[in-house]
Amino acid sequence: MVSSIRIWKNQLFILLVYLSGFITVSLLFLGFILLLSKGFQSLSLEFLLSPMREGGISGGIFYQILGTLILAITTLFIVFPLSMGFALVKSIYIQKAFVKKTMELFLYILNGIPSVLFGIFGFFFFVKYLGWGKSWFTGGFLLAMMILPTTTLALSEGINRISSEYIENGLALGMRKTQIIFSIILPQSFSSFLSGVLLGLARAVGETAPIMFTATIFSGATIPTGVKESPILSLPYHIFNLVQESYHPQALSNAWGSSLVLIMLVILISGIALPFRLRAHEEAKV
Amino acid sequence: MGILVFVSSKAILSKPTFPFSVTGAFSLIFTLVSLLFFCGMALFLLIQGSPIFFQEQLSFITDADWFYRINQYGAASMIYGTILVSFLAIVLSLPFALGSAILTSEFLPNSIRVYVKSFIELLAGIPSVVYGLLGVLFLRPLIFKWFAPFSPESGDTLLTASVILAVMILPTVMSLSEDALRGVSKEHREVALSLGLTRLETFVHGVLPRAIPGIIAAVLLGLGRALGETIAVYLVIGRADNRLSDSLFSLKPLFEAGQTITSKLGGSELYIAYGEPTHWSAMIGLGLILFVFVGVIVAMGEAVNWLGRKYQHG
Amino acid sequence: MTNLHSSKVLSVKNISVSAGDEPIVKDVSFDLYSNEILTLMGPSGSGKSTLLRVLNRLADLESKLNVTGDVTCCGKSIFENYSIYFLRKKIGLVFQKPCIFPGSIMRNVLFGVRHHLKLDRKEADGLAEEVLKKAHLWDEVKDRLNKSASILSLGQKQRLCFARVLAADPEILLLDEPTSSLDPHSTHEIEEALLEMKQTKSIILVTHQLAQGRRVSDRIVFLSSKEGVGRLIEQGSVEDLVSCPKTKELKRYLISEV
Repeated sequence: MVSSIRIWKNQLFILLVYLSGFITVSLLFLGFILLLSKGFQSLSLEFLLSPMREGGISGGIFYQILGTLILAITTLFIVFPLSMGFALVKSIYIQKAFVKKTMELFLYILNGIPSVLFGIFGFFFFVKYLGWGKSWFTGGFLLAMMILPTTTLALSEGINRISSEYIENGLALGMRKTQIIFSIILPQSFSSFLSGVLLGLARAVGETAPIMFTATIFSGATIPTGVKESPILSLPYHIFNLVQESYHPQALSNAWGSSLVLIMLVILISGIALPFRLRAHEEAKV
Repeated sequence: MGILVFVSSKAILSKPTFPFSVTGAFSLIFTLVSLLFFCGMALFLLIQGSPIFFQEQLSFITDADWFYRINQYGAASMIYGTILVSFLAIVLSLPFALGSAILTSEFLPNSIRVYVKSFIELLAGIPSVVYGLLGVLFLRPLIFKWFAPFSPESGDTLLTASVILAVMILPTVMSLSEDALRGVSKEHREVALSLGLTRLETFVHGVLPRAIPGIIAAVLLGLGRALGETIAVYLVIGRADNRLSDSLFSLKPLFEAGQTITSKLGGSELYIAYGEPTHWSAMIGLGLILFVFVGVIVAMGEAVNWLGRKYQHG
Repeated sequence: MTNLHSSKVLSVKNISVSAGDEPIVKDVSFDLYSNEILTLMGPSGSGKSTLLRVLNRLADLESKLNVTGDVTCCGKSIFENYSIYFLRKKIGLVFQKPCIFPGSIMRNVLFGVRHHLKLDRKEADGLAEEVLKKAHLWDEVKDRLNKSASILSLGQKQRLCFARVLAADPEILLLDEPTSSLDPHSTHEIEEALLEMKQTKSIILVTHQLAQGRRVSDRIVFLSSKEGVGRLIEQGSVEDLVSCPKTKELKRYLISEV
């Protein structure tokens, strides 16, 4: 016999769960739709392709988009080799489990460090101590270090998922370590790695704190020349400044449009990652 | 015995080979670059942040007055702001995050689940500055209107910051909690249900105990992100120094402007501080405190994971 | 039939293998002569597969395994006098379970050899055709060399692995129960291929199927587990061992296998 109190409690539980879920999803969904609609109102080809005017209040966001893309590409080129090297050392070259574990702990700690600390350290070291002033390179480098844990762990896990028969067979065919790395290990963990890199990149393009002291300014920059004293404009920092002048309707509309572009960029990069994420599951078990 | 010892082939590869391969050399160099960066950052915080501690010792942490023009530095109101805002964010988001996680893992059919999960992951990728935008435009006036009885000065309050953070960490906490719940194998549910337990009882007694380590880890991760979030907090918290109420448990600060460590660090005061050694050390000292906070959270997360694994096998 | 005048290609001298304190195989000695098929036979657990892996030094890199004794190839110890990569090119190993790399059939066939030799397109195609024919697989795949290898049947995959090993042109072939999970057709094809290969190579075959041993071998080395450790019980030609087994272990094994 099932007591009515138990049934009643159960119904309440189910109700609460559905309610909280519904509220959560619908509110978030509404917020998202709001963002999209406001953003689209401000969007036009002219907006995307023209430079800003009147201190950012009007005009377009061409150089902001360019700056963000420059940062993204720099980050990509830096994080790719660095995290590949780290993952190879951690998963292949090092034998002692203790060292591997320490390296993994290092990655977890790095992953938790607030992004603003990257920015402050970068400011001290690159901008002031090295005397480079603000530079797109510094921004890219800091962003790369920030997403390094994500990308390295993605590759590392991909490597660990490769079943040892492949490596045994490679060895039995007389292949050397480097050959096994480039012919077996890297190809078969590549989807996992790429998805990690793309997801990290999607996060990096939206970051403001690491670049606001080190790489980006609000107005005055177009295309960087050289590495030192070469700041760039960027979408996140642009939005950040516009929000602080949001009483001005034109600035507001500019902010919506910029936000939409930024979000579209994030979605685009995450979207490209999707097929690789799916493939990563089948990768190691052909 | 005698069954082929299936060799750990990746261990085979770790024997050093001579001549040392080019790939190995480059991999080592790249690894060292990363390690060097991290050590550099840690040393930087330590070396540049410690002078203020030597100068003021513990009063840096307990003193709430920050007047940089007369070289008076006290981090207490910022520490208070950071802790209050972050913990409140967890408290606010947890019911919704858990509720949604339970909904999607226990009740929703697979087809809908995939869409919900994808949407949530999408939200987790939205940049914090966009949350800041939404917070300034919608949340701020809302808080100002709804909590008028408490007479806030404007919509920029600690409460606003907490709510924004709660929304920001919700996708992460929900997604990870859901992973933890789904990690519990189907049998546990099926056995409980077939013994006549209700859904609630099945969940509380069959599923939840095994998912607890994962959920705690999710909460800790959310907490870590809340502690470190700069931009969104900066935009809605009002950035007012020296707001430490006399009573730690009064609700009043929630409806006033305040300051967290991150909102202080994210401002232009950093540029001003650079030329002035004491001021600079005070700022970096704040960074050091934040670093320690986050380090503790990460360590707790690892401990929970480790305990969780022990418990599963025990 | 082993020619009494053929030369010794491989000489296994008092090999013992243990994992930490636990012995796997103790004091095994036998020789491999040129152009013969030598079968290592015995019940499971007798250490046959472990022995094979010692021979191409796949086993001695696992730090937990201790190997004592020596193996000489053409008079020189394999542990000292050969570069490990050259040794593994000279001694090929076919595993029990076929391991197909992602990619086309062509890629799989050439997978090992392209790291040893620089081949242009024509040479590569020619080599692939040659070894696929030797492995009795050419007719079944010649129209789809560029298609993925993962769709082949198990027997075809195993023959593909066989071809892959042949591509590096080893002088000695080791095969670890190559047909134990295959259909009769593929088993037959591989056995035929082995008999053909014998003309130019020397082969050690591990099998637990007595019938296969009788079909294919010139000589048999019988191993069995005594007190938990694999030991060499008897060795000799097929007829000698099968018709006049001398030890009780072998007699017991022959009865159980019939």
